[in-house]
Amino acid sequence: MSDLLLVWRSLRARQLSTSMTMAMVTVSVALLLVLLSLREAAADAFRRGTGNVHLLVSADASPLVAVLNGMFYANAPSNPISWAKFKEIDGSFPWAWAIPTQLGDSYRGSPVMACEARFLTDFEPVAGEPFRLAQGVGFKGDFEVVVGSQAAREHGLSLADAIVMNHGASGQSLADHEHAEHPYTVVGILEPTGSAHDRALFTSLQSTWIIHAEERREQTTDEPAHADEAHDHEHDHAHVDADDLTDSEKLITGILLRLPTRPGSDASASLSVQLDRLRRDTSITVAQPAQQIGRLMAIVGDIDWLFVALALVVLLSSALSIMLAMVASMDLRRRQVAILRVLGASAWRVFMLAVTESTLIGVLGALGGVALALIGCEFASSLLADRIGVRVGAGIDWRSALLVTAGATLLAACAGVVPAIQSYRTAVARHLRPIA
Amino acid sequence: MVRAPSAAPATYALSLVGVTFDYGRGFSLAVPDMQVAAGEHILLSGRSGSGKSTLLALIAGLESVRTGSVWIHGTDLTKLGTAARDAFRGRHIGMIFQTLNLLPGFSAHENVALALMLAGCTPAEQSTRAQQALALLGITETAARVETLSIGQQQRVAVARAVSVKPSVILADEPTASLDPTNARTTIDLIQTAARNAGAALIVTSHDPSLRSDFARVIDVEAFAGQRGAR
Repeated sequence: MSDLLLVWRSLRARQLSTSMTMAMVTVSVALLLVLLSLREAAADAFRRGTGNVHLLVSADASPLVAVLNGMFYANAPSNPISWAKFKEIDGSFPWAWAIPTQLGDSYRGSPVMACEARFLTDFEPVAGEPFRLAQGVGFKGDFEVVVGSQAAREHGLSLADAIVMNHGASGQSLADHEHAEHPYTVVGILEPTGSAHDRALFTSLQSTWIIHAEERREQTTDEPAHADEAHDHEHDHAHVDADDLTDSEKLITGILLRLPTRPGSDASASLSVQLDRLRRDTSITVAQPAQQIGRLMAIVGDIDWLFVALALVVLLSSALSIMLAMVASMDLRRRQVAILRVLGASAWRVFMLAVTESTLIGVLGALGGVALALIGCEFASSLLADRIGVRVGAGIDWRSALLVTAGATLLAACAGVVPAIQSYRTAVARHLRPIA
Repeated sequence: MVRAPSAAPATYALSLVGVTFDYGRGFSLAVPDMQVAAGEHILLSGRSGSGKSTLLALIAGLESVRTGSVWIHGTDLTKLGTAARDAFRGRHIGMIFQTLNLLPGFSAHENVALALMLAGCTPAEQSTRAQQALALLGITETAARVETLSIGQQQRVAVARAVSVKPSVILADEPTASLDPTNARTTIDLIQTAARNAGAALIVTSHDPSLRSDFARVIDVEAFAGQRGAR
């Protein structure tokens, strides 16, 4: 027999109220931990995706939308940029590199980024960590594709597989259709980068331009035939070679720019000058990805602090419920206290037994909360990866877990003080008598 | 006026010297001098509300005397602080109640072990002595929760709990109040035998005059009552 067993039995005697109050502590601790862990992890994950790009040019409505679309594949950019504009920007400054990209196609829901081959060598999805091929090689010729690690896993793709892209970012819209006449061959699979690029597929701009040029030309020649009811879509497709492409068919949706920097440094002294210069061109939107992600985090940060505050209120109310549950059971408790006192327990000891009881609810509830938070983070992590391609660590921050557990325990211990005082003041002789 | 005890209090299992207690509302209790020798069994008789339970509470240190001293095993309880008095009670006084006051949800063994824990015994001592006390009183289902035992068995567990700490004094408050005469006789026999085996002084309160013949000395508590009031 020990004081702890005594407390445990006392808790078991009120199983329902004990489990309810413990569940409240569990939920509030889990909520608090998931929010605290995800807000840091999500911010890190967002910062990772922008990599070593200094500037992103697109024709999207705002710089933030440009970054979300161009670097996190949130949606296909709605407006194209002409090849002439790219050449103009490329030639306007001695960039370290300027990579044109085009988004709009997809493979079974995974975004396809058409770009130049050097995207896979010069662009680093995480600064200092370039793309690495897990298998195969980078794309060189037309209709070759390199697959991000998550996309390869999700679609079960391996080297030499032939796949057909969809026109449209989701592949589910009525306007979407397959580019069945031009299957792509998987030539490489990337290692995981922990960024949104893991769920994308990468191919050459030229391949995409050829497909879309052929479609555009077919539509032009088919239009009168659509009026003919005998038309059955079984006709010869127009064939376009790279040399046939006109500048108007070479459309892109983004330009990734990096300015020259000193060795070992990511900063460039001329960044703000170039940003200002490009911004004067009203036909394009220029974004500084790192800054836009910082802004996004600042907006989201205010909202998630609200959630953290709400979780703290839930934690406080769970402490209050511990107190109420214990006070509500005081009639039963007073008799037990009287028995303990008559058997030799001091008033201070029964005071501490009550505090220990509430503390135990707090500790067990908090431990349950940590376990629930681990599951919650795992769930939230996979949800973020699936929905926006941002991979956040599934674990929880153990320092936060320790702090929140200690806080919940302390609150629970404080909640036990009121019933403990009632126990301390119990009139022993009166509560040992038969109940009238 | 407080009378000096007829012998040094330390020589008795229990000695009350000039004890007064005030309930308020015009009712008081005054015990000028009362001694109980080691191993002696006495009956405190009196009608309901005459102050028997209050006197036991004063002896056990559960109520504080207004004046006077309560000596048990050579220690004046009134001179002890609250915590020391609680600890002393756990080690030297065994109590048995009309309602038994066992802890529900705990086994027979745990109920007895709890008293031993509060008396300062080690876990090993708790286990051994609880087992011995229960065996002496014929309880075999020691792991059963007390509420699942028959009333007779629960009484035995309550007696085992009181004697397990090897007390100097056993106080039994109306142990037969809700029993028929046959069961009352059995219970008194059980308590007296247990007290005799433990070598403890036994003080039983009862309003039942039929128990007088079971005790060598009977003290009428009504003689201590200063004024009968609302109680």
